[in-house]
Amino acid sequence: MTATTRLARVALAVALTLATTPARAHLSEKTAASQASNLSQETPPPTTSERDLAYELGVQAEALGDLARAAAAHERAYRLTTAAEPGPRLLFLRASVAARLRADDGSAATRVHLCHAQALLRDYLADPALTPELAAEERVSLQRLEQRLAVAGAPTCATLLGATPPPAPAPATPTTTTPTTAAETPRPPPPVVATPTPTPRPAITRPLRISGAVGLGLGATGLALLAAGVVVGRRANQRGHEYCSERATACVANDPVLRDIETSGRRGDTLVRVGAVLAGLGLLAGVTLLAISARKPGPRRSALRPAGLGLAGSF
Amino acid sequence: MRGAAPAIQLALMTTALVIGALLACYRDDYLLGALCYRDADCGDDQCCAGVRCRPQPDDCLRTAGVDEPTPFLPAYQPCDRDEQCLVHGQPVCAHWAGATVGFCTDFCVGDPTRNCELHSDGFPVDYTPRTCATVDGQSVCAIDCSADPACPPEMQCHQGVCVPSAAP
Repeated sequence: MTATTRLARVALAVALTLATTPARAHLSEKTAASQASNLSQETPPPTTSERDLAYELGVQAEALGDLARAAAAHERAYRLTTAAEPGPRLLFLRASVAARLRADDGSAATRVHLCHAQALLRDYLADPALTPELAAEERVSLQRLEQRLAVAGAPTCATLLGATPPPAPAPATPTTTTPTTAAETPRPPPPVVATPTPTPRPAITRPLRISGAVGLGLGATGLALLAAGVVVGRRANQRGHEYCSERATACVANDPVLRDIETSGRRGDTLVRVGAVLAGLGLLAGVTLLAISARKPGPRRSALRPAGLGLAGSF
Repeated sequence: MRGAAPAIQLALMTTALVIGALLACYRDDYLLGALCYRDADCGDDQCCAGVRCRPQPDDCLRTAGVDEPTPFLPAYQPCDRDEQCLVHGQPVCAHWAGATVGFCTDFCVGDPTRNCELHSDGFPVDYTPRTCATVDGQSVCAIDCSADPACPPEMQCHQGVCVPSAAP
């Protein structure tokens, strides 16, 4: 994840906040001052800057592949957002749930993430002021989550959550630890049957795709070299035949003209061979890398999409 | 599908390499029949047999001693097309003066008695009367019968040049 992307995500959250409740969108001292009169008329949020910090921590943790910490930070941002800000609230909710879902690899150790996501969704859906439009997708999400949790013999969420620290720590600084580290969480008994779920993968899709494109480019270059070599070689053949067959007398093998033709022909052959090897290797590498990148989509994209799409419809 | 992907990749690479090998298209067969001094003057898979570039290996086997004149068996053999001669390293199937049957030979260059091939039969091994005959505007080696109408077996004298009497 680049700094630009992180900045864009923060900017998105800020813009959403501003769009829904402009009076509360005091992300900086300057903005706070300009919105002071409006703030006095509504219940102020706990501390918006703290929410922004939580969200930024979540984004950073996600970029580093620390999904548990990312989920906790997003959840913190969610809990710091009131129902009066449905846009940001939904964004933080979905970001946290998505991180929890990806943090679960189907093992007993990570099952607690599903429980946290379940609790969060239930909390969200318990709001009586929630409109059916805002609730619909989260209900579907909760149903899928509960199907995933319904594994025979697995420890219940009550057991797991009762033995773990609260799901939403307050990550005041980037050094804040996650609530569910291996040292703190007692290991539940292994499940009899574990539903296989995709393991979280590092965000390597883009480099793979770029490498694949470079490979294909090399392959195309190789093909171009190959074609050029064919043309050069055939032209040398033609010149040689014309020189030796169409003249009145026999040609002499060590004639400088024939030597030039031979040099040109051998150069063409070299181009063909180099081009063939380059094309073969380039295409092989390119296709392989692109296939790998297609099979392993980056976690950032899958995390952002639901929130972005959902929010677009919410406003 | 996962199993098919490597196969497709391998097929792509193999195809590229095979195409490359097949299209490594420079062929120096235009040097066949050219006047030469050493093998290195000729192309790949060619040798300098006598004074002409010939294809290896069969037409490089000149069994006589180094300085001893040796006939070249495919020379002056009946033919219809150049390709029949080229396989033995002679670039021309010469149809002399309207003769229906051609004969394999080389383009002439310099002294024909030194640069044109001996015939394998009908003459003393070191003497074949040779000349340069013009066929289709090109000078080719031929067996001279302008002074003496004698020709090798299965050849006949036709306007001063021995030509095959029977089709190949």
